[in-house]
Amino acid sequence: MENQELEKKMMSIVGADGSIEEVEVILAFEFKDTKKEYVIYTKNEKDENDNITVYVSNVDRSSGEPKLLGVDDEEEWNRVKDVLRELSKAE
Amino acid sequence: MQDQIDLLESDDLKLVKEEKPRKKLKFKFPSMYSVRKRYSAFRKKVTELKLERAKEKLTGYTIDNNDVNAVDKIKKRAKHIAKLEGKLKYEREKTLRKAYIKSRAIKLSNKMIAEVRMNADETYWNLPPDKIDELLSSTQGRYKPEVKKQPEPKKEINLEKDLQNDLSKQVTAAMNEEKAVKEQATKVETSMANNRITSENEQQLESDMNKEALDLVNKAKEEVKPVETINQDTAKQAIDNGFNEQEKNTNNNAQRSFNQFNDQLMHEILPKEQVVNTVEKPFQPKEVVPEKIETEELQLPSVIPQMGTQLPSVVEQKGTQLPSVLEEREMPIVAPERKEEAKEQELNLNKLIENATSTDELDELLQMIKEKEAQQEQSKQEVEAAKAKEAEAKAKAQQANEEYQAKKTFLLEKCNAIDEDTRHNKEQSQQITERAQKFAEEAEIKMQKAAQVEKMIGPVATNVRPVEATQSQGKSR
Repeated sequence: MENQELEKKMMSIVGADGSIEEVEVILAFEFKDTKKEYVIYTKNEKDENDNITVYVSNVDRSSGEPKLLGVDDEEEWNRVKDVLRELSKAE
Repeated sequence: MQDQIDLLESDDLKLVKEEKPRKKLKFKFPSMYSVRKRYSAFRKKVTELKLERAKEKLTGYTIDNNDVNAVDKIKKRAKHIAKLEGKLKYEREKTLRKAYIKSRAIKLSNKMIAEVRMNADETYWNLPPDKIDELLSSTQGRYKPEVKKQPEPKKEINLEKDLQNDLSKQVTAAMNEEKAVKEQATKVETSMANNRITSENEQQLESDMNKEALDLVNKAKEEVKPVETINQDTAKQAIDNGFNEQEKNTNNNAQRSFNQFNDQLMHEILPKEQVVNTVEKPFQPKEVVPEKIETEELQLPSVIPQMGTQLPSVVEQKGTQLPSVLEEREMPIVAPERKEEAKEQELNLNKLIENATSTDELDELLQMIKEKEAQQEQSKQEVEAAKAKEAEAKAKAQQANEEYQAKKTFLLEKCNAIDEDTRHNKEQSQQITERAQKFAEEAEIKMQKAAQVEKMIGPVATNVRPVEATQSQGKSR
């Protein structure tokens, strides 16, 4: 029930092949020091263990228009994971 | 770790191009839910903050009291604020009443108007006395200086203003009255026109009725005309002739029978000498007449039983026929051709009557006369009915005419009264306008004088605290 009460924020992603997929944004944040912006989203896909797949992309605004990039840097990726881990802890 | 990040609303992330492949992670539902929850709470806060800021912006900005459109501006702003509040409420409670924004806007506008008033009062009363003096001495201030400091001239002005207002009111009232009177006059005119139309209709009706009556009369005349041809005199003569003829015949018959009877008596009862004497004596009809009449009385039932029945009927016919014929004579003159025809018919009838020797023929003639008489009576009745109708129509027309005249006179009187009223009103309004002009001129002179006095005193500073400041003060309080 609580899940239904939360307002979903949706986003449309245009793939390299031109396909568009609708995803739900779970989180958007930026690191204070690097000023790098990240967006975490899901397509609500579940695996056999009922785990939900979540995707992480780096938001690039250098060209003015926001673009989704991957997280190449390992350290950066670990940092993101830490943030998510912390936020996922129950309040 | 939370200190190192800033959550972003990222409202612009709606349609984004993916240039490089994303990273993948697997979450258990509760942990993902808690992340989502935190993020949604954050977003909610952000939107609330935004709304609050917008609201603050709207409420922080004050409206000038001197602005002509102040109330409209307040209402507009109240609507904006109500919308924002509605959004906020929806964000917080996820529900919103249908008429919430409208009712809230009304409440807010009322509150704001009251606040503006209060602030204005506050600014006035919070001013130090010297500033109040300055303000009061200025003519451009929102508060008229004459109210507190200079009561006497203000009173005068007020009196003048009141008078002017009264005069203007009177003028407007007079104008309204004039308008009303004009409207009434137009109404009366229209009603008069309607009356004219109705009277015309009535006249037309009357003429139609008259025409109908005339037609009926003419018809009746036409019907009567053939009957007219039988003259009273001719009928009389015919009857008389018939009667005389019959009388002669009966007399002759009676005389013959009397002679026969006498002869028999002479032969049977009287002696032969007497008989001879009597035979020798010539017949003297003059001496016999009284006897003859006596015998006639005796003989009548036996000799001419038909005559006994016929004669009274003839007499009766005479009695009934005469007045009807006379009445018919009162009718308008008949065409000459018809008259001739009637004469011819009359003559024929006379001839017929003269030639009629038997009682049967006489009976036929009498029957004919009777029929004609009946026809005459019928036509007479019709004529009378037509006359009655005509009289009725005439009476109606007369009544309508009288009514129309009465109405006309009444309306004319009314019109005259209205005209007099309008004249009176016009005079009054003229007087009032003249008075108003005089007062205006006087007021202008006084105003000029006041301006001169102001100039003599010197310029007045207008250091009035802005309303915004007071408003914010009030809020802080």
